[in-house]
Amino acid sequence: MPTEEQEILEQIGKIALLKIKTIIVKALKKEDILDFEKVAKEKHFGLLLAFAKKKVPNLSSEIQIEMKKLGSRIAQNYD
Amino acid sequence: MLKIMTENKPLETQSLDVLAKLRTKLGAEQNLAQADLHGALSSAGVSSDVAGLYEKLEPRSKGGLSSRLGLIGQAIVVTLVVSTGARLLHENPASIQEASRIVLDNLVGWAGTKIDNLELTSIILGASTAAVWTLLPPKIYEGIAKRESARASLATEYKNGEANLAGKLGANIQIDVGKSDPSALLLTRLFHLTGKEVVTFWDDANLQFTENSYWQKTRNDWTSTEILKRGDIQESIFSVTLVSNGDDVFLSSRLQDPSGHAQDMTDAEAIGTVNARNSVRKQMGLESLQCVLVTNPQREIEIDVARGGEQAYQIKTVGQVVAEKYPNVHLVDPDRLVVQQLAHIAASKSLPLELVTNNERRQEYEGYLKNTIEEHNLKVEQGDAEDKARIASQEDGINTLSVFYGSTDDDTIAQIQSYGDEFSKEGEIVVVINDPEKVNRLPEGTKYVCVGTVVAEAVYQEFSNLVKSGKVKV
Repeated sequence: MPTEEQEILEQIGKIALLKIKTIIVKALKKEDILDFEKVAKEKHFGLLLAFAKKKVPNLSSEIQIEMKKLGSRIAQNYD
Repeated sequence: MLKIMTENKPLETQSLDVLAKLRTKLGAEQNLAQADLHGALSSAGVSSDVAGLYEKLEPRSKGGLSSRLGLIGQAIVVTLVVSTGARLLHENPASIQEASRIVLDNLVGWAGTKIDNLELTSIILGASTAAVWTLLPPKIYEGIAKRESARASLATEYKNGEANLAGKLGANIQIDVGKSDPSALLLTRLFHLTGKEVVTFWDDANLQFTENSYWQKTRNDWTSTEILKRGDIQESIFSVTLVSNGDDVFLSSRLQDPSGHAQDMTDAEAIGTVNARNSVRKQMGLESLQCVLVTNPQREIEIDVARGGEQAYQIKTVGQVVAEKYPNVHLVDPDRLVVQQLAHIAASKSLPLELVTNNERRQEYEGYLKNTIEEHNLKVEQGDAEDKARIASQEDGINTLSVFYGSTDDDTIAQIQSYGDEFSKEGEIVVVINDPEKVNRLPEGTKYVCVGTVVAEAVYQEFSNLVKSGKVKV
């Protein structure tokens, strides 16, 4: 049975996944779309990350920034 | 005013408020992130079918994780909770934040390399989650810590047999087990199958905890009011006391063993539990419970009187005491039940019985078997049992029903495996085994009588009869 901590982590993880996917899509140029669609059809998250690494050189920083924004917004709720 | 009201709330409720607020906020963030992704896919001109696939894309399952968590949760739990999660609550959040940054920098760079993709994905998701986690206000950590500590302490209470179940289970059956009993597990399963909750009472450890988490540790104090109350006696509808004789459930001694070497629970202790349950329920304004006592009714309740003269005091048996004083107690006698089954098998082949056992127990068991068969035959004459039986004599040769019953189940299994062939040339063999869980260790095709099964069925039959007669209300 998942603990409260695990359930909250899962919820944050789902948001993180959506954010990572959004960062990748937002970084796409018109000429990348065909390759992107091929990778997306593979339904393999690891392959997607390998693709994203080539298209978004600063992917980890982008993820960090998005996560910090999310954390700050949640924290504001408790001020 | 609001602050005062919050301060007056129990800690558990305050934690609930904080966490409920967090879950609501995260739910809203998830919806926003979903909409943002949807918008981004649309703006980028990704075809709708691929967009649909992409929105659903999640880390793949590695398999083997049995949890109610989804794949994302599993992926995070594998790395973050197991290796890092425990530290998050206790370590300096700043150091975790820095660690998550380094992890992200490195691992995103490793994407597409030989590293297992699920592991990589889970670490990236875990590190992303950690980045958010470290920014959460202390109030949330405290809330989670309090909730988790309450859950952990509750789990420990159950595991230790100290959980307060009073008023929490509804109609339940109480079973006094002792150290162990061959019929306890099957009985618990039978009651569970019919939708009845079971509370078991053990000396020290519940050997069947996974099947029956509702239990109480008695430390041999079967009559403690506090333990009975914690075991939800108030909602109980029926009780079973398995007067335990260690490995001798069949052919048990007719003498009490107050030292406890042979008996986990003496008949005196068993009668004590009946008295205690009656007394506690009376204090609560409730009627006595109907109880089944699994014991040897011929066992004596010891007594002596210090006075002049040599005349011994007339000793009563358990059966006599129960018949005279306890209308709510019903006896189940393993010896009578097993001998009845042996008599059926012997009668079907017209064979006399011989006992195959350990040398050091032979005389003792032989005496008990002889007594039990005599009592059985008497009951047949009275119409209370079927098929007379007799013990084989020298003249019967090897044309007998050989009953294998060793000192322990392991002895019995070893004897049938080692010597079974020598006894099966003529006549018939039957093995008496105590524990239903050990039946499958017998050689294939072996005819057997299982004491635990016979007893469990008899107890359940008695329960069923009491329900039919209206004495037990379900």
